[in-house]
Formats: sequence, C-alpha cells, structure tokens
Amino acid sequence: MFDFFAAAVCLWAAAYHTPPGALVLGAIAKLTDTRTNARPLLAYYSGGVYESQTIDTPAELLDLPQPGLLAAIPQGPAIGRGVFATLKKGTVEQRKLANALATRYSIDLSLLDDPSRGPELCGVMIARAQADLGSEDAAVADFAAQRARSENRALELQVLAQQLPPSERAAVDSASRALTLGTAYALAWPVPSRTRVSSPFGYRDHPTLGRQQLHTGVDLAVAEGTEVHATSGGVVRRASEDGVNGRVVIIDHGRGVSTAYCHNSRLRVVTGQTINAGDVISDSGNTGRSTGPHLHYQLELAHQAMDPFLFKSAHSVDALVLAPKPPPPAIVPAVLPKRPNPKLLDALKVSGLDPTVVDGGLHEPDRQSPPHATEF
Amino acid sequence: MATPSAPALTRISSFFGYFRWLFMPLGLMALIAVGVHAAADTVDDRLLWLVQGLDAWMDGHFARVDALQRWVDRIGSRETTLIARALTLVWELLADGVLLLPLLGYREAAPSAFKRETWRTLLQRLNQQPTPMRLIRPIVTGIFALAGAYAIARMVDGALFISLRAGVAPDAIAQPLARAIAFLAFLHVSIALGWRAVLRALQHADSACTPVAAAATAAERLALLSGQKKPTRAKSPWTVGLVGSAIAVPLALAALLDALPLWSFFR
Repeated sequence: MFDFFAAAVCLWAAAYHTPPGALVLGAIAKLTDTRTNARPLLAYYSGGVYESQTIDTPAELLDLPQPGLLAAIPQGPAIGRGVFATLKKGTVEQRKLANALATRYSIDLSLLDDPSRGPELCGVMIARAQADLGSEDAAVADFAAQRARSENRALELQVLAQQLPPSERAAVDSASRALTLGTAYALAWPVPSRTRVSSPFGYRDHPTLGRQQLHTGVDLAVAEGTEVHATSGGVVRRASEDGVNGRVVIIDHGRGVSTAYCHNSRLRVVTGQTINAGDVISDSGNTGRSTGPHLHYQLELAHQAMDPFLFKSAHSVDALVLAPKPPPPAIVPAVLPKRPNPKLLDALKVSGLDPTVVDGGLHEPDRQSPPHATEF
Repeated sequence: MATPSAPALTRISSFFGYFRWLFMPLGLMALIAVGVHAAADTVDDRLLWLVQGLDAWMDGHFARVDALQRWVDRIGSRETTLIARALTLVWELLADGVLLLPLLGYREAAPSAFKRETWRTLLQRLNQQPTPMRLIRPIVTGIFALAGAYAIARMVDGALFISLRAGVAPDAIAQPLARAIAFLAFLHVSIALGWRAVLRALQHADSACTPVAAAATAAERLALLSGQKKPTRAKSPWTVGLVGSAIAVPLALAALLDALPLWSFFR
C-alpha cells in the first residue's frame, strides 16, 4: 500500500509539473473531450515565468497625476506603479490577494483604486511586505521565501514559483506582471532626457524599405559620439555588430525587461558583462541601416516591444548618474502602524518612498519634433 | 482484544497488490520524468545564452547579404527564447525516451531472494565487463531518482503548507509539519522506488550489453550458447547505448549540481 502511495504521488507530480505529463493530460483531455489545466509545454521551465505573460500596454497610467520625481524613480514606488497597473487589469482572484495584503498592512482598500493614491499605496504595501520578508519578490508568499532561503537561492520570482503548488499560479502570474511593469517604470533614459525624438514608436512608412512597418523603438536625435547610458542595471545579452542594427547593445534587466541600443559608433561593453544603472555602454553613431546619426532605443517587456515613453518619468540620466541616492525619505503617517516596525522603516528608506514629492508634475515627453534621422 | 483494522489493512494492501504490475512501472517512470525535468529546468537558461550568442553571430553574417537581411529582424528575442526552450524540451523528451521506456519492462514477480541474486549477478557482470552503458545508466538513473524525489518532496511541502494554513493549522505549526512530511516523502519515494529504478536500469543495460540475454527465445539462446549461431548484434557492448548516455549524462550532471539541495530540509 505504501508503494502505491509513493507511485501515486510521483504520478501526480509528473502529471502537473512536467512537459511529458502535460502531453499525457492533453491527450486524455482530447480523447475524453474534456478540458485540461495543463500549461503550454514551454511554460514548464522556470526561466519562462516572465516570458509566458502577455503584458498589456498600461495606458491608464497616462491619465494619472504623475508623481513629480525629479530624479530616477526609486525601486519601491516603481514597483508600486507596476502593482497598480496590474491590479487594474487583474482578475477577481488576483484582486482578492492584493486586498488581503492591503488589509494585513492596514491600508484602506478604497484608496487602492484611487488613481492619485493607488500607485503610492501599492508601493507602501510592497515595502511593508518587503520589511517582513526581506525582498519585494518575496511578497508572493512567506513560505516560498523561506523555502528558497533554505535552498540558498536568491529571492527571485522564478525561484519562489518553484516552491508553490499549481493552485498558486494566478499569484505568480500577477506578481510577474507587476514586477515586469515595475521594473520598466524604474528605467532611466539613455541620453539627456530633453533629447529630440526623430521617430517615435509605432507603425510608419519605412524610410529605406518603403513599406509600412512597426518601428519597435524610439529614435533619439543625438550627435555621433554621444555617450549612451544603461537605463538600469543588468547583464549585457548582446554586444555585436550587424548590417541592420549596426553596433548594438542589448541589456537584460531581469524580470522580463530588456533594452536595446542600436546604431552606435563604438561599444564599451562586452557580452556577458554585468553593468550598473547609468554606466556608459556605448557611443552613439550612424552604423547599420541608418540614414543619420541617432540612437534607436528599444524596450521589450516579455519579448514584446513597448513604447519607452509609456514608462518614462521626469528623471534623466544626469540625475541618475549625479544623484544615485534618492532624497531622504519621509514616512506616510496616515498608513503607518501605531508602533512602526524598524525593519519597515529601513525598507521605506531603501525604497525611497517620499510622499512629499508625489504631487508634482511630470515633464511631458517631447514627441512633436519632425523626423530627422531614421532607421530600420 | 482483536483489532478489526488489521485484517482490513491486509485486505486493502492485497487489493493494491493486484495492481502492482501497473502502478509500479508507471510510478518509476513518473519519478524519473520528474527528475529529468528538474535537471532540464536548470539548463534552459544556459541554452538560451548559447542560442543568443549564435543569433548574434548569425546576424553579423546574414546582414551582409541583402536577401538574408530580413532574417535579422525576424529572429528577435522572442524567437531565440522560443528556440532555446524548444531545444530544452526536445533534450528532455529524448532523455525521457532513453530512460523511461526501459522502465516499462519492470517486473517484480520473483521472490526477494531472487532479487538479491539479481543484484549480485548483475554487479558481477558489471565487474567483469564494465561497459559504459552498464556503468552510466544505473548511476544516471539514480541521480534522476534522487532529483525527482527531491522535486516531489518540494511539491508536497508547498501543497501541504498551503492546505494546512487554510484554517487547519497556524503557520507556526503548518510550516514545520509540512517540512517534516516532505522529508518523509523524499525518503519514502527514494527508498520505495529509487532503488527499483536503478535495478531496472542495470537490468536493461546488462541485457543490452549481453547478446545472449538479448536473444528472444530459448532456442535462440541455446543456439548462441552452443556457438551454432553468431550473435546478430553488430555493435560491441562497449559502444552500445553511447548516444543515449551522451544525452542523459549532461542532464544528470546539471541535476547533481543544481537540482539536489538536500540540505535544505534541515535549514
């Protein structure tokens, strides 16, 4: 009988956690004309936690009163904005999870939907979970974080997802969307922020191919030799040259976010190199399929090209490089518990949450300039 | 006072015993499949780096030819990731094919004394003629069995903890209880199924490397033993199963390095 239980638990695990199991479940479902909850075969690899998501363009955030952060958005509020954008399009179950977390930290549920206060409060919520658990990713579950720690592994969502049963899939999915969006909101800008845009993101008549084609990034009209900065830390996934993109750098920032910098005249990094936000990665140029000096800056979320301006804040690379530390934090008195937890205070400091700078205005991106330099 | 539960347990046990021919091979296959997947899950990102490197190299060459330039645009990060994951999937399925199919032949009708004899006989033959297949397959299967048992224990841990904390037990109790049961599950699966998988892998390797054992009928065996018939197997026992082993060994190494943090039970 014990052997039977051992075999049964192995079959359960294989059926729900392996691609061959998914194939068998799919075949059974087809034969019996029933539905199966097996995932696509390639989604069984933990590296695909962020890749299997479809990231909706977070258009509603454009309607928000933008926080007037004059320096780079610190990680906490950026993640808060990602959580807020995710909640807006989340399912009822995902909303329940967020409500439970908000209740746990005494945050008014009605304010979570408020476009002016919601992103900030989502940031506070995540910062408090972070204070409890040690990492913002770990907000998914205390348990998963402890298991990950016991395996001496980093507190990353893909590691945490491995510790959770299939019933927690919805939580993992919503967390991955929030972290992807949040990471994108934390990106800086590769060149001085007031640089003229010579060709925006979107469909256009291709200047050299002569047909309608999606322009998957933005062209920033900078002079040849202008220093190009990494918009966030990460690992250089590609530093190479070809006849289309010219000298190109692609940086993987993790959490399903990557940025590409094309048509450079000189590369200053190599493939596999780990870089920090603000590092000079190349000098801009006019290489590859290009009709004039410019930088093609491209943002991809879960392999989907997105308009970088959707995630652009008032910060500039100058602010990022010259003032890497966020301003001294002020605590939100309305949502703090009566006896503040010292770990929470530390987390808020690290996250740079500062309600005193929330009500300012965001610089509108300069997107009216006529096309100057164009590329693929 | 007689307890009525003892005969009932015996009856239940006997009932399950009738189906051992079915659930034991399936259980062994499932255990190894989970272990192989745990290993494949640790190599997928490494494969992604390789594919991305190859893509960058190919872009450099394709862009020089006008007719091929469109491929530079077409193969982007989504496509390279898809290719890398698909390669991992194919690798995993190939390893499954190499290791799982022989497990279908698992039978345990013989008494335990014969099983000991089987181990002894097989190990003697391994000692006399340590062919790569005889050496590699049982070791690789053993590693995957342990990796599978660990992955299953981790799933039991997670599922149990989340079930227990849903109103059954407070976190302070649910967590150590789930951890303890998961560890027991690891031990139980490793002991109940792990050694059987290794034995079956050794049996399969032995039969593949021994032409006499590979003969289908008794008449064929007699003819082979008497020298009237030459073995039909053209391959030397030293080269049998090398391709399968080449598929499985890197995954087994990955499992050993990254998918077996057994000490995590005690942290």
